[in-house]
Formats: sequence, C-alpha cells, structure tokens
Amino acid sequence: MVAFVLHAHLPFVRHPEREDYLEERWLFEAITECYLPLLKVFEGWQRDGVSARFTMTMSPTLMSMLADPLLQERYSKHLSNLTLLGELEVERTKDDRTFAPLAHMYRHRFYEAQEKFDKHYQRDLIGAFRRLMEKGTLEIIPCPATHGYLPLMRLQKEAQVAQLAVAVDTYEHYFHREATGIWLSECAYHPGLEDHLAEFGISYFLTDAHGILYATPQPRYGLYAPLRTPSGVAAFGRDIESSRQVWSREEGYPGDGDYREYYRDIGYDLDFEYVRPFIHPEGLRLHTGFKYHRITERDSNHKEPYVPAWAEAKAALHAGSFLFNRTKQIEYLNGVMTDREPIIICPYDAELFGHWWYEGPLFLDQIGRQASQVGPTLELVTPSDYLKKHPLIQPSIPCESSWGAEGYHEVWLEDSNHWLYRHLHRAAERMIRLSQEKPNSEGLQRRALNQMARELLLAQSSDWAFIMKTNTTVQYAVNRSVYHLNNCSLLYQMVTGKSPLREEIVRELEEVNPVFPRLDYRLYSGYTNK
Amino acid sequence: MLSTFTLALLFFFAVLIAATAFFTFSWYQKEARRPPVSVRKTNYAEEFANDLTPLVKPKRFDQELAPLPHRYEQNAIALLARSPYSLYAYWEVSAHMEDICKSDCDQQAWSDSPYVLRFYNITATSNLEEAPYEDFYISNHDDHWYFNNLQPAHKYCFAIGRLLPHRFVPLLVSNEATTPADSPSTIIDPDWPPLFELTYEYNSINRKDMGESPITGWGITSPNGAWSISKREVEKNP
Repeated sequence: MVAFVLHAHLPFVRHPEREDYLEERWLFEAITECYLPLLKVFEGWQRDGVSARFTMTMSPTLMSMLADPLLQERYSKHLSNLTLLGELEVERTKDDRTFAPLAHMYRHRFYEAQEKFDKHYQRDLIGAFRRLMEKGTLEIIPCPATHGYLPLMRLQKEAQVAQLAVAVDTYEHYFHREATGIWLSECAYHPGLEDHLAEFGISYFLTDAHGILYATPQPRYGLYAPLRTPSGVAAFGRDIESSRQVWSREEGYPGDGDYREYYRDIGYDLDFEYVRPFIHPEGLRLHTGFKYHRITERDSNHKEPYVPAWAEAKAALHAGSFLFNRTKQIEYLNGVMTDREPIIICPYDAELFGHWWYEGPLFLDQIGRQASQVGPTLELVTPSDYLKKHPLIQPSIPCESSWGAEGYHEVWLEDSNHWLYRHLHRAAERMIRLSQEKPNSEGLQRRALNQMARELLLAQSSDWAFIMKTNTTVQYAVNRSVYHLNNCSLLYQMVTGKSPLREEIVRELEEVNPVFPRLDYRLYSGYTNK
Repeated sequence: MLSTFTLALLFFFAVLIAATAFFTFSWYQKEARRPPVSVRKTNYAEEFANDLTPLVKPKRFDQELAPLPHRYEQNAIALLARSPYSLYAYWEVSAHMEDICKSDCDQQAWSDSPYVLRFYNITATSNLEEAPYEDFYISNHDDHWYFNNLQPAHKYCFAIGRLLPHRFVPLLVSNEATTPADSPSTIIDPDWPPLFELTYEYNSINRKDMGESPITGWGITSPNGAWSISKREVEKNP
C-alpha cells in the first residue's frame, strides 16, 4: 500500500483596502498552477475509472480564502489580465517558431483556467474538492486553524485546543463531515498532543520519519506501519526513500533538465514598458507565469527553450521510475513483514506540484494511471483505508519532531524569529484569562472577544516565523505578526475597560480580517459547540 | 420714399431694443431663481490629471504600525525545546517582583549581585535542591538565552535570579522542558519486537539527502520560499 498525502496550505492573506499587495498573488498563482491542475488530474481519474485514492490536506486559512467573494473576484480579474497578456504574447511571438507554440500554450491555459473557475466551478473550488471526496478519489483532512506551530504553544494547552477546534469546525462547515485525520502544521509533534486530537475524534496524524523511528518503545515495523499513541490516535511516518526521490537536492525528479525552469519569466526578461501593465503597479518586476525555458543544466545560467512534449514524456518516465521503486520496496518489505501489510507514506506540499515543479500534476496523473496497471502489489490508498484494514497496531509514543531542517523546531525558533514567542504567549494568556473571566459576554463585548481570538490565531500562523527564517518576504511576515498582536492588545484594552469599547474599531477589524466567522472565543476556556 | 425708409429703420431699432429688453429681463429673472453660489475649498485632486497629482491610496495595514512593547511589566518565564541539544528561554522579571525579593536582602549586596541563569538538569530528580545545575552569568539587558550542547531526552528547567555572596536568590523559575530523542529508543515491547531488517541508522546526514524542510529544503532551482515572491524581488524592493 502506498499513501500519497498532498498538503495544501497558504497563510491568510486578504487586504480589502488595496489591490496591490503582492502577497495575494500567492493564492492566485497556487489556484492557477496547483489547485486547478490537481482538480483536472483527479477528475480525469474519476472519468476514466482510475481506482487510485489520494489524501489531501487543506488548511482552514486556505479554505477561508477560497470561499471569500472578494478574493474570488480578484482572482478572476487576475486571470483576465493573464489572458490579455496571452493575446499579446501570441502576437509578439508569431514569427518565432520556438516560442510561438509556448505562447499559444499559455494563452490556452489561462483561458481554460478562467472558464473552469468562473463557469464550470462557479468559483467554488472547495465544492469541487468536496465532490471528489464524496466520490472516493480523495480523502481530505484539515490542519490546525492558521497552521499554528503546536509544540511552541505547549505552555498554553488552550491555545493548542483552539487551533484544533477551529480546524475541525471549519472543515465540517465546508466538507459536511467529520475529519478522520489531521495534518499537524510542519508535521510538528510533541508527546501529549495526541490527547487533544482524540478529544476531536481524530483517528490519525503524520510525523516525519524520526517521529516514528525514535518512538518509545521502538517500532517493530520501522516506518512501514502506524503506531497507536496512548490516546488511541494513530501516527504514520514519512517514508525516507520516496521522499528522497522527489525532494532530494541530488536525485530529485523536479531538477531534470527537461522540466520547465521556474526562474526564467518574461516578467523579468522582456522590455519593461511591454510588461509594465502586468507587473506590480509600482514597477516591481515579478513572475507573470509565462516561462519559456527548461532547466537545461541545474547549475548553469544557460537555458534552452522549453519543449512541453519532452517534459511530459519525462514526467511519465519519472512516474514509472517512482512506481518501480515502490514496487521493489514493497516486495522487499513483504519478505520482511510476514505478519502485516506494509504502508509507505509519501507526503508532499501540494504547492510543489505545478508551481515549483510545473510538470508535477502530470507526474501525479501518471502515478495514478500507471499504478492501476501495476496490479495489487501497489495499491494507492489513504491512511484511513489502512487503519480500517489493519485495526490492530503497535502501542508506542512517537518522538517529538517536525519535518523542518534538522527535524525538530530550530526553523521556527531561532535568532530571526524567537522574539515573537513571548508576545504570542502573552496574547494567548490574555485570551485564555478573558475567556474564563467573561464566559457570558454579549453584544459588542462578545464581538470584540471573538475578533481578539481571530487576531491571535492569525498571529500564530507558523508561516510568519518560517518566512523570517528563510529570509524571503521578511518585512511582510514581521509586520503581519506585529499587526495582529497589536490588534489583540487593542481589543484586550477595550474589553478590560482600559480604553473605551468602540464599535467602529471592532467593526473595522471584523471587516478587514473576517476569517472564521463562526468562531466562539469561549474555545479558550474549554467550550466546544459540539 | 425717404420717410418710409426712416420709418422702417425706426421700426427695426424699436424691435431690436424690445428684444434686447425682453432677453435681459428674462436673464435677470432666471438668475434671481438660482441658489446662491456656495464657497467651497478647491479640491486639486479633481482639478488636475491623475498623473500629475495621483489620488491618495488607502493606507497599507502596516503603515504607522506601532512597535510591540519591550516589556509588559509582568513576570514571564518560559523554556522551550528546539532540538535534542538545544533549549530556548525567555523571561521578564517585573520591578515589583525584584522589590519583593530585594526587601529580604542587604541592599548593597543586592545591587552588586549579578543576574544569573541557574540551569538545572532534572532528569533524575525534580527536586531543585538536589538536581545538578550550571550557572550562566547574564547582563541586565538580556531577556532570552539558548542553552546548547545538551543531552537528548533529558529534562531541564532554569531559574533567573541574583547571585549574592553566599546564596542564589531565584526571582522566577521556569517550566520543565524535555529535549527530544535523537536515536532509537532502547525500550522494546516484548509483544512487538523490532524487525532487525527495518532498523537502520537515521541521522541528520540522510535527513538532508531526503530533503529537509517543506519547500526550502528541495534544492532544485533554489526556491527560497513557498511562493513566487522570490529573493530577487525582495532584494529589489526591500
């Protein structure tokens, strides 16, 4: 058995006041390059009777953005802009035999995306994913509300529980069912966390490889069977071999010379005046999505033109190679694990497929199609399927771990981001205290407390600490953290009577940051709406 | 003939004067009905083309963002695990707490005493009187610390305090924190004995080879973040 798990997540980025935030493009690019192509792959399997089943995780912040009418409208406008650029590119390259077919390809792709998004799905992508789950192709699970890094919240259990409660509630709202499993943000786990998961009826989660390999007692089957934690929740571990084949710096498939080069884009390459209407209004060049070159050589700046047919063939070849390796792995494991069927867990970021690795969705498509031809040795299942078939699993406590660099918490707690935690903890303490002291708030005070909880959750997003560490859009991440923490303080001052409780401030924050409208601040004192 | 011409001319002038008088009267009447002209401030944004005087854009969320406070004037202390070999600590001692502790001591000795982090290894015992410890001298301005070179799967805590000539006065004591394991457990469940073929060396070297973290770890064409706001763009627009 092989279980693919695609983790789809973006932080909540929604700025109604202006349209020139580059960060909103994260969502737009992910929809065009990842989520729509993935839907096409899974719907194709359904149409053609491919029996493969995949697991997808969808973060509550991503669900909230996909369902947001303002962002939907802006995305549609973004696509219109791209189709216009497509027309211009077709005209510009009409005499160029190398690039003209590529311009046509992109124009077609963006028109198709617009037609799918606006007309076919009626802008409801969550509904499209939900239907795939209802028909059995997908098992979708949530992750904590704002992708909060739970081990670094462990001093306030209520804050951890609130992240989980909002996750489960948002999931049920959009997918009309209870969550079977959960993706812990960054696969970050510490012993004891499973007790909270059990409270919400969650039956499994995933850890990195060493979370299972260093479990106590030692696991009998290594990575190839789940463990049962003391609360009864199962823990599955990331497989090392299959991860290496996709992620490895040296061996990873996405680095093949035939695949599309991400960093060559007409947004950077063409004349400034030509691309100006399609880049940032202040003249900042950026990726438009029109990329005409292939990787060619990984460490060289020389790039040859992209040839889609070669890339497509290579994706099929790599899918075959991946499955061949899994088949050999399973044959070996079957010889060793005579008393139990092995399961190989292959988790990846969903945004890898299509965004960074343009041909990623083609690769996944081929995985599903070729696997169904390999035979019963290689069955693509979900962790739930495995648990149903093998309910008796070894009791053990996984090791504290994450899937970040070095395998623990250093990425999210180091020199660039450590300053954040004292403020996050302080804000959480205040939220918990107010929730306990004012359990029956009504009217404006209740709205202020609910909004304070939203602001706290948004500040807790692991993305901000991650961006600070990876040194990308650091200023944005720092400012988002400070902004939400300041909002928490402002609301705290108002609720505790240290400043006047002003309706217009509460209303403005509700309008600007309307994430999780069903949230109840009493979550922080153990209240659940179940 | 002449008198006829003169009469016609007079008639023409009479009609001209009557028409002028009529239109003048009508204009006065119309003007009298108009509301008085309001005196208003000239809005230059309306007067000039956008490219000369761009319209003021709405504020960004981070415009005029107030910095977070350096101190809350409340006690706070925390110890968090980072890795099998490292813990992170932060603290804030309120002036009130200092005053309480100071009141039992010699004032001069107190003001001469350094701040110390007393770091306890409480793996074997949680009794701080018995637990082995190490002292770290810190400055008055320090508010966080990394305890490095620790043992995996060991339990620790720390206290911040003042080191007086003959005794340590703790101001705050932290929570307990356990470093994660960095190797397979030595505990075996007899009902689930490990299969020898499935136990193998797993360390940070093969971690790097399998790809480290989501997105950043895979070194394909050196993506630096999860999205297309690449380092190139950030450098151009710091």
